[in-house]
Amino acid sequence: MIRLDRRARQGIGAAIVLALTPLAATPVLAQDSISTGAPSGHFSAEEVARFSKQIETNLAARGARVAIVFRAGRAREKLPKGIAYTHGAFWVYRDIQTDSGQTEPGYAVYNLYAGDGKALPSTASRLVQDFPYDFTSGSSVDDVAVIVPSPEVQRRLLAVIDSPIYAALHNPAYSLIANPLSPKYQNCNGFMLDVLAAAVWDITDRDQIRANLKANFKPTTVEAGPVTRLLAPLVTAGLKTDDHSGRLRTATYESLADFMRANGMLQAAYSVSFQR
Amino acid sequence: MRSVSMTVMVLCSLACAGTALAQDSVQNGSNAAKASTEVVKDLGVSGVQTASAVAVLPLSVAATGSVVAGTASTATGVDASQAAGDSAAFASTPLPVTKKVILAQPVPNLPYDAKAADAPKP
Repeated sequence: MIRLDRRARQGIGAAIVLALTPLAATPVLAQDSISTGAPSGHFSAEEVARFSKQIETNLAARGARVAIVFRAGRAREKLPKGIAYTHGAFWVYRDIQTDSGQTEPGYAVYNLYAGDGKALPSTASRLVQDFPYDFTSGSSVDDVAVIVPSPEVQRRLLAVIDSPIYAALHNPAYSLIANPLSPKYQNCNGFMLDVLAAAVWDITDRDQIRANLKANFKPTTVEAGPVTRLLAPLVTAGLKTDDHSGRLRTATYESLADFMRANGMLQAAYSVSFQR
Repeated sequence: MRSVSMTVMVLCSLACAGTALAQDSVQNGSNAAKASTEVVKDLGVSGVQTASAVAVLPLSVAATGSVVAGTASTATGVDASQAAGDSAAFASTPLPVTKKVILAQPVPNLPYDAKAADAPKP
């Protein structure tokens, strides 16, 4: 048995904490609502173009005016158990005016993006409208998930997206694993859930939206032990856990699809794989 | 003592891997500003047709009328009752999509925490 003096014990303790801290953050990095624009490295620019057009064509063939599309910005093995996608956004069928003066039919993407720590703090978010290429460029896997709401829900969603209510539902205080049943923080999926709630319940009051969601929506539990929970916020500024009591829970593709399926709001939920 | 040191070393090396993962997203974000010009170049070489978006126009079809209180006339100028009966056709008829890849205009990339130029130096 080796006896260590107090300074040695403190030094080893600090080293272990420092070593564990980044590890602790990794399992709860369940979201990646980061604006990209350049391929993440998984796809070449040409592949991003082909994949984004493949998704657009898929949605258009179904007649989807509004769909909810999810990408995985991290390799699957690096995601917490039960979570397959990290960022979601509304894809809305639009006429798009180009700089050559033409009008092209296609999809515009309505995102909540977290700050990158440079142009915007990583603890804040903003609403950004971009295009399928931008969305797909952030994917680190060969598939995306798609929720096509029922036609009536699409129509209601479009009405909210095109109204001032859409921006009013945005809470810029960002957390990667925001609890959708708490008003404190919001992430991309939590924002989409609020927009969906406003559309289907025909309400705009945030407290009422929260109350209705508490009664009807079951968020996904993020697997994280007490060490992770304690240390993760120290590592990643955009990762807060003080809006959770009990287990960490957040909105995901899985929980949104389940909620919509259980309440007759879903036309289809499926994945689209890149055809290489 | 040796086993304690080894444990610390193993934990440290694992931690380095964790740090790298956490930084990936930030790198993506910083690439955004340069993306547009490089992407157009890359796609042009691959023969992909691109177009730069200037504006996204609201749909002009009647079915975009709203049933959400107060939004119908604001958003589209269409009466809600006009659209209410036709939502199934609204979102089930196949739609045309351009073959061009639509690219966003470059976004402003200014630091949010810039110090004033005339701020006193410490």
